[in-house]
Amino acid sequence: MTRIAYRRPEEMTEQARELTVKRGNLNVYRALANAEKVFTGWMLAGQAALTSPVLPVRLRELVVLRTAYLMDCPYELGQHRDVARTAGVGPDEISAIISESDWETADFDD
Amino acid sequence: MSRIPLTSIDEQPEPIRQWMARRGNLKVFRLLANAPQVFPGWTQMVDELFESPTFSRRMREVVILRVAHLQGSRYELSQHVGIARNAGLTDQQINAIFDTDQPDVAGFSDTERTALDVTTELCSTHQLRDDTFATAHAAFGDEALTELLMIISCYYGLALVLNAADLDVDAAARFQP
Repeated sequence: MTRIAYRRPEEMTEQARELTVKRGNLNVYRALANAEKVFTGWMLAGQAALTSPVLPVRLRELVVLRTAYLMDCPYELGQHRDVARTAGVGPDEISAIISESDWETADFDD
Repeated sequence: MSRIPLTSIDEQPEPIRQWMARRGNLKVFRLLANAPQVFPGWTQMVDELFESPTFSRRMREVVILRVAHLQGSRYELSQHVGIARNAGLTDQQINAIFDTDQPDVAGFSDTERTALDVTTELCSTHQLRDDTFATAHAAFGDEALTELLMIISCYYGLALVLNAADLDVDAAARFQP
């Protein structure tokens, strides 16, 4: 149960609402939208990181999942497990990333 | 010596050059400009964090110095000690923020102490206990607490980048908050 109330889209500024709806109205956006003076910049920064073509999506998701695991963040894991699967990360690879040491022996490329 | 070459300001697109002219020609910006796909969005986020009237400059600097200390970011500390002084923090208060365990509470307001507790617990355990959260929520409410957490996350993440790159501190250039 969230400790910070979610903003409803109709309670957001227009730009915040547009960005939130466009990116799937996720709980994380609805929570952060409480900080309405800084939310837009955060959304634009996050959007740029998630749409940049510099890193392959698979590599990005490996890094995101590993960070989420090491930061003990069930929410990020919940969201990015699915994104990672869609990006071609297999179930065994996901299990390896979210364990203490299996990632060292799993079959990732160099 | 930075492990990642710093971009030159002259190579930057006009909006970024203008942003650096306004915020300072810092090495951290020349480092992050190596990632032009994500750097402009980050500059907008930084602008909003520093233009927001939610917190006093002093409160913001208390939190930033505590994150920088706990994350071992020499670079963040080198920039923000001066800003913290300009925002009214004394050397004694700044030194208290650098106590590794718990900052000595003398000289800080109740809300500053609450913000320091939140920062310390989050940076060291990655979580907030229910009672720490309840105290912070009572002090700040939904909007300010969320914004406080976003300041912490910005400097926590930036410290990782700076530590990875082993960026040298700036000789004279200073961030303009």
